[in-house]
Amino acid sequence: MSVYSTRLRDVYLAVNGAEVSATIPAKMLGSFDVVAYIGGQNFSTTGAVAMEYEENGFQNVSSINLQRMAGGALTWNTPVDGLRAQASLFQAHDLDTVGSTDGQLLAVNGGGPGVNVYGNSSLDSIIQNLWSAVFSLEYTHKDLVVAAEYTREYGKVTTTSLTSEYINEPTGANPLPTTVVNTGTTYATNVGYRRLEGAYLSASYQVMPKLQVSLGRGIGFTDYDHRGLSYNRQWTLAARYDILENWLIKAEWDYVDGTEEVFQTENPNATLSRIWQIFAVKTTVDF
Amino acid sequence: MSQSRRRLIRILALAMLMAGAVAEETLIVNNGLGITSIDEDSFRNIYLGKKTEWDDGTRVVVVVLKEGASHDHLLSRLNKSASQFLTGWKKLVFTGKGTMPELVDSQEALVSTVAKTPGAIGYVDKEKLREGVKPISLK
Repeated sequence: MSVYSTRLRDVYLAVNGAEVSATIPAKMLGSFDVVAYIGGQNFSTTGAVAMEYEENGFQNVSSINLQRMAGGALTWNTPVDGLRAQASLFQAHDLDTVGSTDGQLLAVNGGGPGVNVYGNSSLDSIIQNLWSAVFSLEYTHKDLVVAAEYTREYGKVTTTSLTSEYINEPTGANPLPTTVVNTGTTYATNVGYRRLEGAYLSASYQVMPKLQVSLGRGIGFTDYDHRGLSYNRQWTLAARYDILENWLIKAEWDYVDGTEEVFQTENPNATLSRIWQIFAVKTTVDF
Repeated sequence: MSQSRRRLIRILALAMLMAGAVAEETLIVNNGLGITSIDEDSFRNIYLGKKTEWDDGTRVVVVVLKEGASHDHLLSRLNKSASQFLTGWKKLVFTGKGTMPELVDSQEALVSTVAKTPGAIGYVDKEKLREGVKPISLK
């Protein structure tokens, strides 16, 4: 299980830059591992981050640029054998996504009876400062691993659009061909916020040398200021079997209450319901 | 067709119409909610995903039928087509502003789901009421 935003996890998972790390012994308190990094990242205009923007009104994404990202983590290896705690903080500065949306219906009958107004828009969305904090706790005892994580993500998203409005005016012939008539341009700024929150608790047990089973409970909210709007509560039952040293297979069943992190681009024609289940099997081979 | 047979068909048709007229829908909520009625605005806002919490802070859980006469009646009260209703909810889901209602196959399943889900509301044939739910009136 994880608590990261599935669409922006590419932002969190890698950095092109520099990293420093150190281990600080703390005698009776155990030890501390510290890591800090700074850098940037190159994003694909067809990857998961781009899909996040396509979910939010971008028909096409032409560029994604990140000015700077920085973060760090502090891990406490406690004196209790097998118990670790970690706090990490991440910041992305000026995540700027440019794209467009063409042919959007703006006003039904806006050009007169039966004549709709459409728009072609160029869009620019900037998350000036994206913050993410994660707190983790892990306890290992023999074949049992218990883990818990909690996260919050915050970002102010400013999207500007320049829309060229037009109508397809019927020319009067039959069948009615149309001629495009431009009716003006509109500049608009929209401010939104990312206020994601998530947490999980899971327990994994090594039943046999090759077989591990786990049970987890997770929750997630699209907006921690309005948790009732869009939420997700799920039970996860999973099994992992190591067929060979470099080849494993995982099976996972999720029982989900809620539709947070359910995306239109992945469910264009789906019949959604509050309660749903998913069963997934995946295999991984390391070379 | 004989006259007596036509008369029999008319009587049967009338009986069917009367049976249809007797069927009456009601709003139901989970028994744990301390309300006996809601106003028209709240009703619309709940079913269109704009009201997500009851006055006592309990999360609203909307349970709806996938289809059927009661669902059609609900839609007509909301002045929405089936596709408008679902599209509106999907828009809320995909923009992170709402959680999809629970869709169920039958009136029995609807009542059962409302009975076991705190904060749940449904619209159902009065004949299907059972323990765990209570009817509420629309002011």
